[in-house]
Amino acid sequence: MWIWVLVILVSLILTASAVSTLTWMLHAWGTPENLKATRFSPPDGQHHLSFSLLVPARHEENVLHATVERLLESTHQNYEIIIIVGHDDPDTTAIARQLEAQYATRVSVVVDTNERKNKPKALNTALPHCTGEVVGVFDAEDQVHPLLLEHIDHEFRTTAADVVQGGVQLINFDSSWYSVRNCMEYFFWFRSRLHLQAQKGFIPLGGNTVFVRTEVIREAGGWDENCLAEDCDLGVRLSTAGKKIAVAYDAVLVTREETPHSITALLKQRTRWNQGFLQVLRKGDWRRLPTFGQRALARYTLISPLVQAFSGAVIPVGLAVGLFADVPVGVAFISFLPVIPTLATLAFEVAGLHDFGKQYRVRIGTLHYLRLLAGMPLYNVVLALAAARAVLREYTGRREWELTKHLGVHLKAAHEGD
Amino acid sequence: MAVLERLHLPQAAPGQAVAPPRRLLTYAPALLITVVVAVQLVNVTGYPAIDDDEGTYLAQAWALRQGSLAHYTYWYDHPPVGWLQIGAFSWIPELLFRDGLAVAAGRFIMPLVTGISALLLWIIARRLRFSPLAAGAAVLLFTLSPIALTLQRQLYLDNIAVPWVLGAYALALSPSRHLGHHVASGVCAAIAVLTKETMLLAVLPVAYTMWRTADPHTRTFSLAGLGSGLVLTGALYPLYALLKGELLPGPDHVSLWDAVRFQLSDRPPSGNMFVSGTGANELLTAWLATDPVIVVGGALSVVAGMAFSRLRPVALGGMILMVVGMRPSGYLPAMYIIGLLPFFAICAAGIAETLLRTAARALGRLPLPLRALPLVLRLRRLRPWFLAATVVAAAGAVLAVWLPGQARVLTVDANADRRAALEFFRGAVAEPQGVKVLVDDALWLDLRNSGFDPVWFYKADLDSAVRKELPGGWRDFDYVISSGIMRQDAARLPTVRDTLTHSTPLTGFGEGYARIEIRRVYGG
Repeated sequence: MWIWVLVILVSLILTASAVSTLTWMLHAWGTPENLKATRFSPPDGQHHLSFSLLVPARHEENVLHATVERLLESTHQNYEIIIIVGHDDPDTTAIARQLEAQYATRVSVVVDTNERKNKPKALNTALPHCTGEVVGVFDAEDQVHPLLLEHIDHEFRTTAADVVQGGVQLINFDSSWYSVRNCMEYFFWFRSRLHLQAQKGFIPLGGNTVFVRTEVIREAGGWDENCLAEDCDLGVRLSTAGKKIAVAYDAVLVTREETPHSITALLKQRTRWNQGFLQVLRKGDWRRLPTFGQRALARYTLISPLVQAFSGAVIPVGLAVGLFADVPVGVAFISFLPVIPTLATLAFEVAGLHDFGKQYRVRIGTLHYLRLLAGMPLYNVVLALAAARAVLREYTGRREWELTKHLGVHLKAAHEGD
Repeated sequence: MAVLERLHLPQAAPGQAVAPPRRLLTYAPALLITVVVAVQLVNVTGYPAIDDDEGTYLAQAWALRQGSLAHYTYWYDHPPVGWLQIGAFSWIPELLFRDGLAVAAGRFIMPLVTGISALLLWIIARRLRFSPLAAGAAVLLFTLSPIALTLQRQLYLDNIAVPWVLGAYALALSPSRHLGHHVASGVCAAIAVLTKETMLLAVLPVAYTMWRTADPHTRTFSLAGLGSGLVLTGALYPLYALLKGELLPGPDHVSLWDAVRFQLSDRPPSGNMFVSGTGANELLTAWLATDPVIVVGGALSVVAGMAFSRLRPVALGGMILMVVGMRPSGYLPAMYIIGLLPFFAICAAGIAETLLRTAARALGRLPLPLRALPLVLRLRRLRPWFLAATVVAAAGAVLAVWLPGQARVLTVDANADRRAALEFFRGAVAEPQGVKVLVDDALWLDLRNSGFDPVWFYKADLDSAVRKELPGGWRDFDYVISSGIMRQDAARLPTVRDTLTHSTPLTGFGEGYARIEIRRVYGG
């Protein structure tokens, strides 16, 4: 008897969680008006703001040069690029110095001498050197569109925002069985979900293509050096402080990135994010959000990676109980409920992949749709493992960074996409 | 008159000149639907004669409230969603009308169902840019034709399914083009199909409707929403069968598979509709006799509607139903036309409106020499009057054809004999407990409610669980209440045939097929 109650309870919770996640992930396509509102407004050709673009680079000698060269193609007149390198990383430093010498007016190098290194420490090291009115963050492997800064400039002025988050998109959907799912995660997150979060006044910011007014980030004390998801944390703190955050997405202007090059790398990356979200949850800055709804959304957003991973692991168990255990038909029926939003999610992911193909002008073949569908169970196992690892690491006090290595696959993909 | 003037105004200029006042537009459908529901309620218990199927659905709805899917072994004949909905409401008339026939009382919920369908039809018409007058005409054609008045008040699953079909179309045409509406449209379509499987044909063009209405940028998601709403809701039914272990055939249990095979291929074909002597032709003749206007006019309008862009979504729905219904190799159920009525009504009103608009425009564009004539000038000024006269004349002509049929529906008591038979039987048997009666489903619930032990005659031969309880065959019955359908099907049901032959009539009511006889079984 108690097992029936458990099955019913867990199934209902999972269903509710899956339905809400699905609804939010579809926000942008809710109405044609919603979709229109997620785009950048067309710029007016005027450049009023000055930008300091921070590019932390750690063991990124493969990709740094291309990234900075691409940044320098920007049509905006008023920006500087600050590359942050570690004192213990001579290869990357050499490339950074070479760029600094070549483009003395635009590029400068800041050396991070912290003994233990991570991204927030690197960013904080560079913050005092920023001369622009707006600080922008890019990762060393990012492919940034030359027109992006112009649009961001315009977005700041028209929305009077303190923060503008631009779109980031994994682009090498063709590289492996899991990359297509990984690309879709980014697609739904930046194309849709983030806009809803911004609208509700609680937004975990992304790690790059994020632009903050310099005085606002300085006032906030920079990035949290002890947090594994410093980007999410910054978003939470700025949301709590009532800062206005705008999100804009455009397939042309989106920052292109690559998926982790192996399952292990994906697992590590996900572990870090989940653990970071957990840390932000435990820090509790979100408790100072003004409304109950915002606090509820905050709590839910921060634990949802764990819930999602948990669902991926538990739904099959529920199905097995429904099918094979000796339970009444009604209970078995309820154990199947979470499958409905899960399958609907798959259907919308197929629609998303179709849309992705159209927007990025890439050919999506049957194989990719099959990978998207068939890859779901295994991908969920990876997510569940990452969630378990994150919880384990957080509660055993292991909080160091596990870095994701970049090979530059997306550079090729990006050019093919152009 | 203000409503009429809009007829010849191009729709592209709304709000111009003589748009009807908003208040009228809000109250007009409400008023119209109130009238429709009121008319549908008149003599709802009296006409038409109660059909065995109505009794079956009501008894199954009753059984659902007792905690099982049917009053006998549920064998996946139809998904239970239809009588689930009947059961949600049938307790109300049961409380209010205890004395008469249970099925007649149960019919009181049907005019409300028709009211909901009518409202949805109005919404669809307006969303297809019908003028209020044309939308109103569609509602009247849909609800007040003799065939609609006759069939819509019967406890048929088709009637319960129609609002879901219309809901699916209305949501697919949602002007806000909200993804949630599109998902809901799919859910409605699935419920329509789960209520009555044949509605699958009627909801197919919902996808086309949505394709046209949706924004090109969100269309893929809209269609994914429609598809997941439809498929995932629809899949609950086979899932139920799977969990019960009744999805696939096996020894000693019913299965969804067998039921689907029976519905699709084992039912005898009804033959060519246009060759006399076939079952399908008999049905067509009956439909035409009841109401030639909506059957012929509706069918022609559906075909014509395919040529007009704004009517194409609904015309396509009617077209698919018509083409599949006309297949000589298929089984054509008597209620099939219920699903066609909304498509007939909306296409007929739409075509009429288009014709009138074209005529009005032609009047304004008479050739120059003719226009010079003072008489024609006066004619142009008379244009609204010409249109009004045309509408009134057309309405009058339709009404003239309809009136005899409508009068019959609204006045004739076709269930008096059955009611008298029930009263007699209740009076004749003082101690109903344990009295086994072979009966049709139209009286099953009444006998059950009076304390008898009724057996639905089909089950005495076709349900193994019931057969087990009747080791003596006809000898186990005390009475048989014979009706037209029982006598008709007795030839292929040995127990029923034996019970009829081994019994003697106590009394009878009515003549011919409709005759109800109370018969005492020998030795019973």
